[in-house]
Amino acid sequence: MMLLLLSLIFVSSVWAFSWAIGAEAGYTMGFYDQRGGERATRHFELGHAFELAVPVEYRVNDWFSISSGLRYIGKPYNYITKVDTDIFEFYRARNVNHYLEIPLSLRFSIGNERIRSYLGVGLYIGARFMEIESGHVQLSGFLTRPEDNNDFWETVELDSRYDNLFDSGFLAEAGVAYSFDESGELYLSARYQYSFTSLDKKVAEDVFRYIDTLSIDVGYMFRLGGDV
Amino acid sequence: MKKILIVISLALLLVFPSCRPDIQHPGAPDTITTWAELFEAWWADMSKNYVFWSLDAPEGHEWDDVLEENLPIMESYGEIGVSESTDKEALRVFFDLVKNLHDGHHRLSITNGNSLTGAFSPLLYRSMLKAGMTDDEAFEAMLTASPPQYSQLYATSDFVVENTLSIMQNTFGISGAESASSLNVPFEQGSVDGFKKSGYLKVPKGTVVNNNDVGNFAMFLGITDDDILYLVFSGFDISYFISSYYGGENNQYAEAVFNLMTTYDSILSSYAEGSSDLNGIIIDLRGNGGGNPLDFYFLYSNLIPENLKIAKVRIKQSDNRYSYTHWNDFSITGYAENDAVMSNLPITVLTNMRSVSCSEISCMAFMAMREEYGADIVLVGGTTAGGNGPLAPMDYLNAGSSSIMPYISLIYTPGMQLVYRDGTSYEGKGIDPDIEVDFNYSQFISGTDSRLRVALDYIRSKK
Repeated sequence: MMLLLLSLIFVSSVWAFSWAIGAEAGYTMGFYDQRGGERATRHFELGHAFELAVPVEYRVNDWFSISSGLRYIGKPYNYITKVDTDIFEFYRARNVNHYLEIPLSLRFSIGNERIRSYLGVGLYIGARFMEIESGHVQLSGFLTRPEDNNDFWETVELDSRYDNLFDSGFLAEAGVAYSFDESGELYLSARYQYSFTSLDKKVAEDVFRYIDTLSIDVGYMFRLGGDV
Repeated sequence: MKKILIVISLALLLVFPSCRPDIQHPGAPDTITTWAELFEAWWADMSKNYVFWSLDAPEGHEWDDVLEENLPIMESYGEIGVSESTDKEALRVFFDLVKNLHDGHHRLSITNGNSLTGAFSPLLYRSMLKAGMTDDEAFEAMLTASPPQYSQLYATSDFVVENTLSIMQNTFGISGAESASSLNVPFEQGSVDGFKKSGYLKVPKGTVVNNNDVGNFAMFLGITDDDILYLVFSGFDISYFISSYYGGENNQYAEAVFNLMTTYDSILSSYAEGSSDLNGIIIDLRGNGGGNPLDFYFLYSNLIPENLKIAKVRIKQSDNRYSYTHWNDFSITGYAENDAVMSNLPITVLTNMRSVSCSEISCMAFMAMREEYGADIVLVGGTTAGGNGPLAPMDYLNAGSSSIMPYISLIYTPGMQLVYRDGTSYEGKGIDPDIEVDFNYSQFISGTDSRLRVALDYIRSKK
């Protein structure tokens, strides 16, 4: 993060620049990665959620810019408990961890005044503020009769003593932008985020659990003026 | 400049994906020979399979401290089975760590492979302290080969004495209830004094119905001379009998339980329809060790007209100690025609320190009925056991009971955490009765059941 800030200070003192601010929304696919503690009856699947962001871009010149902003992102995965030889799933939950994030990335562009494409790499920090599970339980031990079990949509208790409410990670992105006029541009981007932070705080004999995401976003950036 | 930035970016791409650790917990060694190895294996097993960490280690670090503080001590004990005195000291460390756990179901069955075997239980420990025993006496009493003088120290407590069979024998005068191998008396007039009709049974040891061992199951159903419906049963095995009955296993006890439960249901239905009189209901859960929550359907669903949320449960989402799912509603089905029972009849629920698991969840069901319907329901007797966590096979829940052979044959523990529907946890504490009645051993064995008398008096005072 410090490296990127130094880069920002350096390049802003050397080149002409412009600012842009926008709005974007997109689909998020979540990949659950657990290190240790695997069990044959515990299964994880891809999850699906969405994200919303207010991006800010600091365009240094026609090939380099620095992007940041504020992003809400749902990081999803599906959790299933079942015996492999059974078709019966005892517990199926779609789990979405909700974060507010600040990304910071370096973007390299090629193209012309009308259309450009870009690649970016950077880091993000985030705060987890909610965890929601939705799904279905089919354990007769939970309830009196399996047929009475209800679908659920519930908040999971988060406790700062046990749960990591802070997140950070690496991001890589690629996109294509189309300028209608001088005022701004419409863009489509794909971004992969790789988390450095396990969902749970460290204790002895623990396992590490991460959620990585692949997002597809559409947005519009309004140019705020400047030299570029 | 452009090249420098691109190089920095590529470096980031290459460096960051290596940030995640490759976790390989070694697990228990193939052959355990020392107390330190056994302790570490037990500690790690508890770390991932125990579910009450939010109660037993609320700050997050306590279980780590247990390892740090006790491993050097266990290392000093050396190999297992070499010295009996050293082995006993090692077992005492396990006892001291288990005795204060919240888990009311918990039992650690551990041996040195020779003459020393212990079955350490927090619930039993609490019952021993309540009976006035010291820490040392409790430890000795939980060693299998301990002299009988230790178990005699709590032999007259309600935890040991007060249960379905002793109630049938001492309170209702059913001769030989505690000694006979089996009983089977259908619901009929005049079989027991004080009841206009009653029926009861005791299932022989070793009886299996629907693939479940139901040996020694006992049940008594009666209507007193002044129309109070009374039910006592030793465990929540009713659904096994009924499944056996419908499955055509042709077992006389399955048929007897089916007939008693059909009678129980028809008495309540008749009252709800207005075609019979009742003055109250007593559900006696003293000494009831729990069982299958499916039984709630046969016991309580005919009291309430609609489904009722009574508790919340959660399971583990990973092996991490505090990695829980959400709290899932635990509801009972209601199929009563109306709320006549809830609106009109006083209900007393009898409890003692041996009322555990489904018995305590039953108390929660009645507490919820009182809140939901304004029903006149009171709990009478003694504080319950404080073991509410439902048990289920490890395959279902990724937590719960396990073993570390050959020295730990069983770590008996639930795979779910359960709290009352308002979020209150009674695990390790038990549910206090609304009307507390002390247990009096000499009165009880001479036929004066003071707790039942208070329950009856409460209902009679409402006439």
